Amino acid sequence: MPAEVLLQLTDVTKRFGGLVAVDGLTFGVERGQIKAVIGPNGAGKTTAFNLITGVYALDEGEIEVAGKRATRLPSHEVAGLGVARTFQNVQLFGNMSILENVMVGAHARARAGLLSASLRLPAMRLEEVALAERARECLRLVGLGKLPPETAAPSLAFGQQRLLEVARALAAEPLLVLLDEPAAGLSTAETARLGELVESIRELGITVLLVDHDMDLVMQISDEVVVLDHGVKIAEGAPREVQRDPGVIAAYLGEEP
Amino acid sequence: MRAKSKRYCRLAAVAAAAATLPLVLPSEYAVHLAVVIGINAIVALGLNLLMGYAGQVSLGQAAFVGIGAYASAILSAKAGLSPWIGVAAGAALGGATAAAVGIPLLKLRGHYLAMGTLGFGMIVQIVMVQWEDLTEGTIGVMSIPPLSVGGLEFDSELRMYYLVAASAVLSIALASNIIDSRVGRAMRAVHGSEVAAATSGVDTARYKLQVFIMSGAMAGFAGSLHAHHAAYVHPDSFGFHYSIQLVVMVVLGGMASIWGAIFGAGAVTLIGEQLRSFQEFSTIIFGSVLVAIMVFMPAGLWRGSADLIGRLVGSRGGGGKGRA
Repeated sequence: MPAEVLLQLTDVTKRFGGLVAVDGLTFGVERGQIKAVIGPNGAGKTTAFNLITGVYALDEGEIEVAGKRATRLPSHEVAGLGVARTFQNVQLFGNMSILENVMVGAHARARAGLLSASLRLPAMRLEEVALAERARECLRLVGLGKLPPETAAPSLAFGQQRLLEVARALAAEPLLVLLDEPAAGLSTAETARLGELVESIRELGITVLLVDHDMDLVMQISDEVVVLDHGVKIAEGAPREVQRDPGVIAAYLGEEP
Repeated sequence: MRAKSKRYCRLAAVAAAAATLPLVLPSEYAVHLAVVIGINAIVALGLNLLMGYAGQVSLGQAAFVGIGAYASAILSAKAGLSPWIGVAAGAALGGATAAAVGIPLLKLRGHYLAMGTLGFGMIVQIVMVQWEDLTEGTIGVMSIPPLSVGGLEFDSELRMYYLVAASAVLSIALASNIIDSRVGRAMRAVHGSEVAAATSGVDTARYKLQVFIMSGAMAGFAGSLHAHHAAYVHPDSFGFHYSIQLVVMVVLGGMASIWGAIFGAGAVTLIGEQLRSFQEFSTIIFGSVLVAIMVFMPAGLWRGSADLIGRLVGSRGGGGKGRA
């Protein structure tokens, strides 16, 4: 059965001045996969995520999401194509409650505008109730369901803040979720629970692309791994094959292959 | 649900307080000050949506008030149209100007946006002085007629008070509705993390522009009320000094707090009256107050004193739950 490609990067290049952060990167993510992007620090992993989500504009290449061209689209339009993400350095809305943070994630799933909001028209109120319910569901899903929904986001522990970002991403009902170092700063127990959470996200029919340095986690949950070094893809394949790849070993140990 | 009914209760309490306030005010002059506070409160509410909630600074907000005031003055005193047309035009022109300058200016961030809006404010004031055919230059527009409904003219301080108080309560209701909605969350998200807002599907440029237009329209509307209240408009009223006063109202009351904006409008208006005799030194005093507030009570006087009282009372202290 030929699997459908949900995300396709083709020859994607990004330069910052003289530095080529991502260099001719080509890879695809199939629907229903958990795929990981790994590589040493500065390999261009987060840059790749920023290119996919329109945070940076790419210099060359093409990006497609579910068969639609996503190249150089602004971030909110990429989100509209069904891509949600979390951030390596947690980017929560510190001025809002945890429930409201997750409700922003569902922004594109609702339509109330300035007029219906300022007059609190009945349709808008119904929509608010549905949004809040959806947000509570996402909080439960990531394991934050027992917290009072009006808890201020910055008062959460670090690991919980990471989970809140995941809940916010899920609220968008995305086709694809990008997790940027979700295990960074988490304890071993928290990382294990994160692994289960990622599996359960896949079971919801959401495709996952993640960047992480925790090799145990990556090798355990990923179907496929892409390895970057200095912006270039040096390997791609099943976790076991990649682990044995001499080029990958050299990149991690800092030797010339 | 509980939070919502609480909000309407608070709104009803404010409306009742506003309705009975004139009974306890000692003089006509006190009622006059209450009118000025109400007008400033409407501008501060709009500016607080922009600054406190959406995180976009404007150092030129006085210009929108001036545009509304001059629109009303010119249309009613010079063109002889109904003052209500002036008010509608004032709000519309405030919003339209915000749209026109917001599209280029809102691409700027932080200090650059502050500088851009500062420059915009200066340009508008220069136009008020120089376009003499329309604005009467440094003489100003005089004999602006009062607003009236049927035979009832809002020509006394007390009548004007009720009109302004009703407008202010309505503005509070609109602002708090917006804040607690999809639009308000999008605005606040832009403040919290612009990149996360965008990747969550929020068209950040669009919401920044919307809130800027909203704040411009509220300022223009308030400016129109000012014109029909004072019966006279002059370019000096809408300069940098007033823009700074408006920022102080928002900061003093507490950013991202509706009641703080009202409180700030009252405090700054009253302090301004007391400092009149100091003339230009009043700017220095305002500046010092602003610095002191930022250092000692960064959440503003409103929430700052609420936290203080909470701490004094004891156990109930855990304020700052992020609710306006």
